[in-house]
Amino acid sequence: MSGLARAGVPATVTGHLIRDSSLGLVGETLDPILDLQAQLWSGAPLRAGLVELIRLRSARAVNCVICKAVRYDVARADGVTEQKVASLTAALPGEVLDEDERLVVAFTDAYLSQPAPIAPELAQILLSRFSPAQIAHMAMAIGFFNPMSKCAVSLSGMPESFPLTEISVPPR
Amino acid sequence: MQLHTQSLRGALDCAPQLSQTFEALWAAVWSQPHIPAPVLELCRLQLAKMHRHGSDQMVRHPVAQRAGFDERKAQAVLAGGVDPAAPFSAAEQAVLAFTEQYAMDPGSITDALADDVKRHYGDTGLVTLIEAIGFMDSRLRLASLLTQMLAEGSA
Repeated sequence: MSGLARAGVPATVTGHLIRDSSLGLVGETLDPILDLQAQLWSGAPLRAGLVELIRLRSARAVNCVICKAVRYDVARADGVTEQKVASLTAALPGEVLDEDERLVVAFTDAYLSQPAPIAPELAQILLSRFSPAQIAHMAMAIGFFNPMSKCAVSLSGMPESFPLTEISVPPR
Repeated sequence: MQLHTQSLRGALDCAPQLSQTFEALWAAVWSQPHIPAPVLELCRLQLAKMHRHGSDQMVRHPVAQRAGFDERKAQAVLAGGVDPAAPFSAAEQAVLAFTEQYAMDPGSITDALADDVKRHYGDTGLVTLIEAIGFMDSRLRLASLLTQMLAEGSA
């Protein structure tokens, strides 16, 4: 997993976590990335705790060391505990997760399993339990965090381990 | 109706502010100057083929088309071969090899594959490519998943 980073970083240091990373080299995509990230953590229509479970389930599948070690403060404030995070290592997370939490994890697994079809029963439950806007939010959350974790892995330079770290949503 | 990477927005607009930003990011991927859109289009088609995503194999991105995308190369990617009348450039070969490995497992990408991309497009090009194929892959997955869910919802 470790190795030298495959791309450099911007020459100018700003003190911003993402702007100073390799992502800062691509100015054209940087602002929409920061905007989307901020909106995904806004708490509506899907609460931040559910977004965090989607992000962490995906990070585990991609095996992004840093993504797995990070916790967003807004998600912790919304009730994401380390006990819940630990449950994400199981194929089927158990009772520590409530019904909505188990369903967003199942939705994430369905995304990760594409092009295998989603179980019709799961699709029906998701559609009855969540609003169309919440499902769209789920979709864009996994559709953003999954490629960002893959980006981190693809760029290499990943440490063998990383301490558990709480962060805030980076400002724009 | 089978969604594809370009029509996906129709399934996401019920969260309009998020959807607008999600689409702005997708548009930025195609309009950036670091990797030409016709080269990215070859990557999208290769991913669509690997995902067995029929509708995405049928469409062409308008930005790539306006930039002179060569349909013979599209057919070669989809057929898994090379058209002798329109061979891939060294840069296209580097990008396609990187994309194929990314789709199988980003953790298995080698320094040699990355260096080959950088030889043609530099560090910024490599980051651009990784972002682009990441969002292509995610939109292919979402198009497929949400198509299935919409079908269940109307069943």
